[in-house]
Amino acid sequence: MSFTVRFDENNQEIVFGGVMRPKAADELAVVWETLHAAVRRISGTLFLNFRRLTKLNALAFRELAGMLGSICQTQPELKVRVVFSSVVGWAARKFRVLGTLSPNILLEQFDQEFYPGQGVLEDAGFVPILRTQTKMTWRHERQILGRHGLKSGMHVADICCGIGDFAVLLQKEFQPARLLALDHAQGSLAYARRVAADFGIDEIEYVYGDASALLLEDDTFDFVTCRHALQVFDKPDLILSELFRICRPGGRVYITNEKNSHCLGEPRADSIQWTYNEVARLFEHFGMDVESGPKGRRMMEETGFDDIKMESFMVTNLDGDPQDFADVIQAWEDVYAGKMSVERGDDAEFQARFRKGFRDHRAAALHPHGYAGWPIWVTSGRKPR
Amino acid sequence: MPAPLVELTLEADAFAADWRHCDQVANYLAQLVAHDRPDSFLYANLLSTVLNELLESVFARHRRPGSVRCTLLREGRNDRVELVVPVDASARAFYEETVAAAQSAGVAETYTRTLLGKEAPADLLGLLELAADYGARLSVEETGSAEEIRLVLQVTLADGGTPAIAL
Repeated sequence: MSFTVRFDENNQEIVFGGVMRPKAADELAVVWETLHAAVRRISGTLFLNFRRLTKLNALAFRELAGMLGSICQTQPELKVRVVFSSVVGWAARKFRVLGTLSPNILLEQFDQEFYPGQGVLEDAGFVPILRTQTKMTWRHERQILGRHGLKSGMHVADICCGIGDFAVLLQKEFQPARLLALDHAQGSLAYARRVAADFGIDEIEYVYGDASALLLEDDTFDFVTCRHALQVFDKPDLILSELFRICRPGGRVYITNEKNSHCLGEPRADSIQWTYNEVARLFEHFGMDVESGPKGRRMMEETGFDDIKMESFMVTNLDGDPQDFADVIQAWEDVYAGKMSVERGDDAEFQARFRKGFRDHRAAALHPHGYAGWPIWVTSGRKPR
Repeated sequence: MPAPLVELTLEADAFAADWRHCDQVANYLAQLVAHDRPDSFLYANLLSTVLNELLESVFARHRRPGSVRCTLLREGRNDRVELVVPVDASARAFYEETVAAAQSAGVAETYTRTLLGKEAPADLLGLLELAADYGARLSVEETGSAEEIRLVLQVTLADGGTPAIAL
């Protein structure tokens, strides 16, 4: 049995980690002591964070339930919020009974709130667009990845893998010794597994996981990718620190992000520019930073990486079939103008102008003399030895 | 009957020498058979949880000397765990009573009552939890020897992380 329990006074949070399978209750004395010490120093709500506790036996659970029941009795003004992740399969099953102990014990499945955009991505209609986007970016990234250190035979993790198509391309092109592709969307993973099976690819491990609290060991992978994902979370630093942790010393983490306000097109540049500036504001409203591409260097430095490499590329209508690009822009319009703008409560006049920019961008992509672009920033950093 | 995926025989004395063997054997077996499940991490974590509760009970109940034989079988999405355990009359009675409680319609209430009661042995709580939270079916089978039983658990874990009850 090896577990950790740590009180973080700033967050009024006790963080549990590791494996808690004791033989006897007295092995949990440190949990009691930590709980008592925490309760003396806080008011309002005590957070119990179990996201990194991977195993918990019945004896330990009974002791925990007893401790919480006792605290709720002696401190009736205190709320206790039990935070867990659906990635740890037993947690939701086991903890639900805690809610019956006291109305002051509240259960929170952390990752339900952490992945606000997941509903859109799990929409089956969005899958072809995601595949097209990957096809367009892969034309560039298949060259770029090598410059950032990816070689065949490496142990690779693709975190926030989505529908898994990038992992398939990576498997074919680079033949890693191990490729683990992780995402938090079960629908996307099911799709990824179906595609891999159809293509006869059985080397990729598609696993369900929470990128902000990975259950993967420290220092495991030579190369870790995380594409277009940090920009849609309100706490990208949490994810980046996890990517750092699972990367082996000397290995590299590779991220891509956008700067949506730099999407461009000719003709009708002004209309297009206005709309994509508004896209950035729209995402900001929902706590996402789709302007984060050029911030990759600073983010990497602050996480502790060295030997940081950075470059950008522009997906354009000249890369392949312009209709592909136009289809992607249409999908953006459907989601951004059709769903997110409506949810924000934008009026009809705004929405009409907002949609016009997307239409103009599509027109630029399909115009015989036009040009349409979607810029993406690549940053990679080395984990110091 | 499907063929065994893996079978592990443990000398009772060696197994009982260290409590951590329960955790180690549960993890080892779970990871060994998880590799071809759609989500190997999630499945291995759940199977380890189930095996650990069974092994912790056997650790506490089995008679010595003798050997404990653990067999994992699979049929489609369903898992079957068989534990042949040397027992005395008291342990046999414990398992028969526990299986009866675990198979009863009110197992969820029994589990909650046992959890909050604090009096019952932890392994009873663990086995009831497997039935209440995972829908596991427990049974005791005879092996032909009066000095051992076959404790059988059937459960479906392949659908992974879907909580038994939505929050």
